[in-house]
Order: sequence, then structure tokens, then C-alpha cells
Amino acid sequence: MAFILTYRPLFDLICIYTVLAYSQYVALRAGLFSFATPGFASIGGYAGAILLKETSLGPVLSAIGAMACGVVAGLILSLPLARLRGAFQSIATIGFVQIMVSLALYAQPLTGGPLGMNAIPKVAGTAVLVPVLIALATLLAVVNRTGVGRAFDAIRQDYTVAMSLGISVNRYFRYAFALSGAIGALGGCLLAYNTYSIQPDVFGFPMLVLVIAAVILGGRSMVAGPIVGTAFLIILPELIRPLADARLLLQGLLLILVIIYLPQGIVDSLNHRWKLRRALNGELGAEEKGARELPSA
Amino acid sequence: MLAQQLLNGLVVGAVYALFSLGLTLVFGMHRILNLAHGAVFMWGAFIGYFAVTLGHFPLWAAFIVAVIGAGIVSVALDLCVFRPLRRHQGDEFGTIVASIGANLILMQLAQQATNAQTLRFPFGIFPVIFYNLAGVRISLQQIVILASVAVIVLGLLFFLFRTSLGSEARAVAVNEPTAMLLGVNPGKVYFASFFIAGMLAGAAGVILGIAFNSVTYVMGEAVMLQAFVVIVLGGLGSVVGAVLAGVVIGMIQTLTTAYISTELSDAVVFGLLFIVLLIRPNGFFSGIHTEYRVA
Amino acid sequence: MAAEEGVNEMKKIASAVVLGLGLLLSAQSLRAEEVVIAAQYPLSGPMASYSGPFLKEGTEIAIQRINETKMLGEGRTLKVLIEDNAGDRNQAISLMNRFATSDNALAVLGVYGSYLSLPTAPVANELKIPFLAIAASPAIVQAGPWSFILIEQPDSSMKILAQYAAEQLKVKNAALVYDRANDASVRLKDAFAKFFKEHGGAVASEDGISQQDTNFAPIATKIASEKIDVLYLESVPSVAGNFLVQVRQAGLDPNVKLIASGQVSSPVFRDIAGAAANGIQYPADYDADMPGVENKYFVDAYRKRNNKDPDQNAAWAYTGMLLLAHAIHDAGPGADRTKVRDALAKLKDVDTALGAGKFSYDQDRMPDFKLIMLQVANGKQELMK
Repeated sequence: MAFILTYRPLFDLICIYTVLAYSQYVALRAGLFSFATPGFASIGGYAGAILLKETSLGPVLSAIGAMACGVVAGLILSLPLARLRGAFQSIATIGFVQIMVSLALYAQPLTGGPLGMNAIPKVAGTAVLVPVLIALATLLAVVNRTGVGRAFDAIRQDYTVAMSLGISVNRYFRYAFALSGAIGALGGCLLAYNTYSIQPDVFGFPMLVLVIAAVILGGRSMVAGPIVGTAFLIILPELIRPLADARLLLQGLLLILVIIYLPQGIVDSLNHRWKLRRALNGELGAEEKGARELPSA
Repeated sequence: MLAQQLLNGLVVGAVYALFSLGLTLVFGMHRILNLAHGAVFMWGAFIGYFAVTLGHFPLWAAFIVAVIGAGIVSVALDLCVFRPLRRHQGDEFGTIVASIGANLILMQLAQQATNAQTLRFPFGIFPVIFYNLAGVRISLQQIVILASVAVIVLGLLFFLFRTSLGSEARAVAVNEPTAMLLGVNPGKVYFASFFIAGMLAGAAGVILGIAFNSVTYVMGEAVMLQAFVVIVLGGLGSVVGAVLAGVVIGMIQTLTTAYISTELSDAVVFGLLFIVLLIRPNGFFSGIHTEYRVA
Repeated sequence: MAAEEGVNEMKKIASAVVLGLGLLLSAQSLRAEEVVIAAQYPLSGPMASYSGPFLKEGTEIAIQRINETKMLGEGRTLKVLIEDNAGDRNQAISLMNRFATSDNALAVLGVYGSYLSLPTAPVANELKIPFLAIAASPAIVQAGPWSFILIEQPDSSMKILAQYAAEQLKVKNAALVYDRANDASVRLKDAFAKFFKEHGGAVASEDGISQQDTNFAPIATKIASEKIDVLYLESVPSVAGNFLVQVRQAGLDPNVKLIASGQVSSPVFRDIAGAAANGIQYPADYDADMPGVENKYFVDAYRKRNNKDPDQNAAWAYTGMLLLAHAIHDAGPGADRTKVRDALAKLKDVDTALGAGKFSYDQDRMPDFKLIMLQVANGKQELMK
């Protein structure tokens, strides 16, 4: 019992950061070089907190309002960025995160400035977070199987080929930005609703590194990837507290080793291996064998 | 006061330019956006600091040690991180992620080495002398900074456009596979470009560390963010563009801080980034001096 | 041999059981009681350079002092768990949970600063564990009956400073420089501006700087060109020191008086600022030369360990531990968290290392320990007459 009580905040944190990791996951899956998730989370967190505290909308409508703000931010961001590729998107989205931190500090009457928003009612406990996370994961799994998901896969693997197949890359980039914005805002909103308070630099570089590491580590293809990656990154320093001092060192080392030697991430690599073995045992039908190549490439 | 502030902007802008040159060079030649460049800069400042305090080197010698040391850190970064990634067919995104990891490692090492303390070069390491030029207070330090940056940039241009290794480097920038077919040794070129990028960052690190009286393990982050805007504004891969854009950004940042608000200077600089991306994603200076682009 | 020992052991146990049965009731009260307090500090991460290690040292000296003088009462010893929150609020919250639920701590000290303490305070109230925050924000106290602050709120120190500036220094026109990303710093600056204006002063400019900044040339140049007679500076010690160096280099009139908040009463500030620090005056929570009994013990112990004088961080942690020890003593043997909380709120006139007087909580649970005025002269900090 004591164990559960002690580690419940940690569990809550894993749920929230998995939602944030999903925002990053959607971007990466669509082939965007975007690091905008903490910026979206900042928008969602502040919008959610302000709506909940200042209006009588209630938590559910406030959260939906926060997500709407995230969608709008994603669409605005996609104006210059959907037609750009690669490093430009990375640079601009890192800049976007920095702008959001500055604005949150500056807009004191709205955001509380450096003090942040405090005494936010805790409306998102474990009982809320778990169903939300399950619903989100299910939704993303469904999206992955639709035409949008397949278009994302095609663009990620080779956008020139995708364009020659008649896929409008810019349009799907816009969808990805909007979806990533909505999920990121939801994550920020849940963070605000769970931890009583938010401050501008909560949504800064450390969050950026954590969510990107979670997705790279877990895997960019399967929906289970970000869950595994986030849980691993959050639990690890708690398990080995003496090593907590070297947390960033470990995170950096993991990022480098995984991107070099396990670029598909833990879950996708395991899944790939498992499917390969099944295929070798002759258990797969011919058409499924063909489909196998897609998510893992 | 405006002239004084423009001078402040020019000096800090010149250092931004020095820093951004390395970043834009490596990107222009190898399509590697090295997010650990700020950490190399920081290590340059640390090496210079330790050379002065522990090694009791005179400043000029410490500067050379720091510049070479930062070059070695940068090459080590390529050998330990980017080269294995190339071997395993890592893509452009992979290099960005790996450089984030490398940045974390280099920063944490510096944090451990210094116990997260803010260090400073000994007082009086650089003579504090001021001159009055038409009402503008200019220090010997500022003059030396501007002169060194000018010399370093000219040296870089000479290397790129007047030496054989420089031409090989530019050939790789234009088309790496073709350059290799023509007999260019890619290992040599990667070594040269990372070494030069590191040296530029190290020089910037020592200069900023002395000029702003502060050497900390987080000093690379702020400069890195400014450099993003510089290289986009100047056009990724453009040497002259990076220099001009560095000075422009230094001035805009200084004037915003002095006349509008310190809080908004970041937002103004990054707002500019988005405007550039929206109307001229290839940068403003890519049109002029195209012959001075590495890519 | 082994068998013989075993038999002896059995006999001992048997007699102990007989004795124990007879003395059960009285044994209960005589049994040595180990009291557990938990502390968490930024021992790593960005705040560690000026806080964590010093806090830890203050805590360790306090433990020694408390157990040597049996401050908790006869037969009770103090055990303190010291953990690292890395200056990260998520880690701070999760440690608070661990302390309350699985470590059975009677009270928690630390977290450090309002930035970390504000989000942690509601958690302590939810878990119903006494939490003494090494911070000054009244909002922490308002989070509920279980959270306390150790440092006097911004108003009291800035009232003293503004009055001093207007009446003693006779300055009229101030430039204010503060840490824009730090809530406590903004509050201090606002409080100073308010009281300074009440004393007839005017504010010429307000500039926010941040802890990541190193290029202060634009603001320094601007301030040097302003018609001011006093510069108020409030940031973490290393940044304040660096700013001072750059504003002097930018040509600040040497006649402009320098005042600051107590944050600069740190060796780090004097090291970074060097000669630029001379003449700066500030109200402070702590000075090693204050003559109180507790402070003398603390300074002697600290010097023996480190060969230098303690800073205010170490004094805060030392004082925090003493306050909790007094509260646990007052709550009586076998006290639970509720009793400790009630006793803490009632503390009056406790001799600690801080300030010039004794430490008390007023009816609103706000701390009160007369502040002192300090200045830097010839690179050394000294008490002002």
C-alpha cells in the first residue's frame, strides 16, 4: 500500500509524459523534424489552467478548449513550416519552444509570469489519466491504420516518392502539426490539472529532451513505443538514485546508442524480430508478408 | 547612447558570427545540424579557463590551447557520434537526435567538473583600458575582439577559397559522392571541417567568457539559440551570410534589450526567425556573394 | 563455543522477556525513540552551485548539535534523511510523497526556494505532513495549515532597505535590476519600489535580467547613462556579481549608491564581483559575526569542517533543523505529525543562527527574526553599525 502511495505520482507522471510523447510521436511518424511539443504543452497547460480557474466551463470543456488552442497553434506553425524540410523545421520549432517560454514569462497578467499558475485544482488524478491515455493510444492506433497513417508512413520513409504517388506532403504535414498540437496541449493541460501548478520553464528544454528521448527509445512506429520509452526514462533515475546525478549523462548516452544501433527503438525492433520469426516459421500469409516491410523500414 | 549600444551590438554580434560560422560550415558541407556545437563552445571556454588558472598560461597561449582543444572536442564528436551513425546509414534526423545526446553528455561532464559553479577568468587578465572615440566609450577589449574576429573570418575564407583542402571541402559540400569519385578523401574533409568548426566555437567561447566575466556549463545554450536565427537569416551554409547575420542579430538583440524590453528580446529575435522562414527560407544573404557559399 | 553462546543468548532472552513483561508500561516511555525528519535539497542541477551542498552542511551540523544537547528530550535521537531533488519540481514532489508515505518522516525541511516549494506545498498539505520550506513566499503558507516558511517575506526586508536608502543614504532616484524569471526576485523588487516611493523616492527604470544571461552590456550602458543616485540589484549571487562588474565597466558614476537584497550576502557574489562589490549595502538574514549562542556553535563547527565562514544557506538549513527539533520537543514523546505541526506554529523566541533576534512565528504563521544590515568593504562582508 505504502509502495503504491509513494509511486503513484511517478505513475501519474509517466501517464502525462506519455501523452506528451505521443505529440512528439505523431510529428516524427509523419516525417516532421519537429520539436514543438513543449511549446504546445505550454499553450495547453496555460489555456487549460486559465479556463478552469477563471471560467465555469469545468475540467472537461476546459481541456477541450486547451486542445483547440493547441490545434490552432499547430496550424499557425505549419504555415511557414509545412513547406520546409529537415533542419529548418528543427531550428524553427526549437525557436518556437523558446518563444513560448519568453511569452509565458512576459504575459504576467495572464500567466502569472515567473510565479506561474498556482493552486490549480487537481482534477486529473490517476483515475482520469489512465482512461485518457488508453483512449488516446487507441485513437492513434486507429489513425495509423487509416489512409492518413499510411500517408504519414510514406512521407516519413521518402517524401519524394510520396509526392510522386500523389500524396500532398504539405497537407499531411499540416494535419500532423495540428494533431501534434492537440495532443501536446492535452498533455500540458493534464500536467496543470495534476500537479497543482505550472511555471514557464516547465515547458522548456528538459521537456523537449525527455519527450524526444522517450519516442526514439521506445520506437517511432508502434503505439506502444512512447509508453515504454517514457516509463523507462522516468523510472530509471528513481530506481538508481545514486546515479540520479548522472541522469542527463545517461539520457544522452542512451540517445546516441539507440539512434546508432537501434534506430527503430525498443518496441519496433522487438516487434520486427518477432514478426520475422513468425514469417520464417511460415505462419504468415503472403499478403501480410508484404505489409511487414512498411512499419519497420 | 545609441552609438554606444550599436557598438555593444557589433561586438556581441561579431562573436555570434564566429560561433555560427562553425555551425553553418558543418551543416553546409555535411548536412549535419550539430546541436552540440554550443557544448563545444562551452568546453572551449573551460579549457581556456583551466589553462589560465591551473596551467598558469598567459592569455594568448591559453587562447591557442583552448582553440585547439575545442577543435579536438569537435573532431571527437564526429568520430564518436556522427561517424558511427554514418556507418549505420543514419539519416539527417538521426544526426540531430544524436547531437542532442552529445550535448547532454558534454554539458553534464562540465557540470560535474565544476560542481555547477559560475567561474570567471582572473580579474586583470585583460587590461581594462577605455578610449573615447567621438563620444563613444570603447575598450581595448572590444577593439581586440573585433580585430580577432575579422582576422579569423578572413583566415577561414582564405582556407576555403585559396587552399587545395578548401576546394576539396567545397567539392564535398556540393556533392559528396561525386567528390569522392574525383579522389577526395572524405575522412580528411570531415576531420578538417569539424576541427575548424570546433576551433571557431572555442575562440568564441574564450572571448565571450572573458568579455562577459562568466564561464558556466550552461553558457552554450543561449548562444546556440541566437546562432539558429543567425544561420537561417544568413542562409544555411553561407560564410558571408553568417557574418552579416551575426552582426544584425547582435544589434537587434542589443537594441531591443536597451530600448524595448529585456523580456521581449528573445521573442523579437525568434519572431524574426519565423518571418524569415515565411518569406525567405533560404536566408537574406544567400543572393549576394553566392561565390562565397560553401554550399 | 557456538552452542555455549547460543545457550547464553537464550538465557538472556528469557530473562529479558521476564523483565520486559514486568516493566512493559514503564519501558514504553523509557525506550529510546528515533525521530525521523526528512530533508531534500538541490544537490545537483542548476541550483546546486549556490544552494544544495551548503544546505546539507548546515543540516549535518544541526543534527550533531541536536543530538549532543538532547534537544528533542531524554531518550530521543534525531535521524535525518537527506535527499537530492536536483532542483526539479517533479522530483521534489515525488520525494515529498516518499518521505510521507514510506519513510515515515515526522516533518520535512527544504526543497529550497519558492520555485520548488510552491508546487510542493499543496502536496505536503494533501499528505498532512509538516513542511518547513526554506523559502519566503507567503503563498506557501496559504497553501494550507501544514506548510511553513523559514525566511521573512519580501515586505519586511524591503521595508528596512527602502527606509535605509531614503533616510540614511538620502537617495531619490533609483534604477532597479532584478531576476525576471524568479518570482521571489520580482516580489522583492516590487516591495522595494512600493516602500521607496512611500518614502518619496522615484524609480527611473526597471530591468529584468535572467540567470542564463551573461551579456549585460545593453542594460549596463543604459543604466550608466541614466540620472540616478542609487542602483538596486536583486539576483542570484553569481549573476548579481557579474552584472555589477559590467555596469562598472560601462562607466557607472562611482557616486551612485549600490543596494541589494540579502541574496548577495554570499561569498560567491564577492568572488565574481571582485573590487566592483565594494560599497554595496543590503539587509540580510545572516552574518557569521552575530553573537547568539546557537550562531557561535554553528560558526565554530562550520569553520572546523570547512576552514571558512558559513553562508546564509547553511544558516537557513541549520535554523530549520533547530526549529523542527524544538517543535518535536514541545510536542512531547511519541508525538504524531499533527502535534508537531501545532507545536511548530506556536514557536516563540527560539535562539537560532539567523538574524539579530530570536525566531518566532506570528499569528499568521509568518516568520519573524530581526534582519541585519551588511555591507561589502575591501572585498569583505561586514556588519553595519
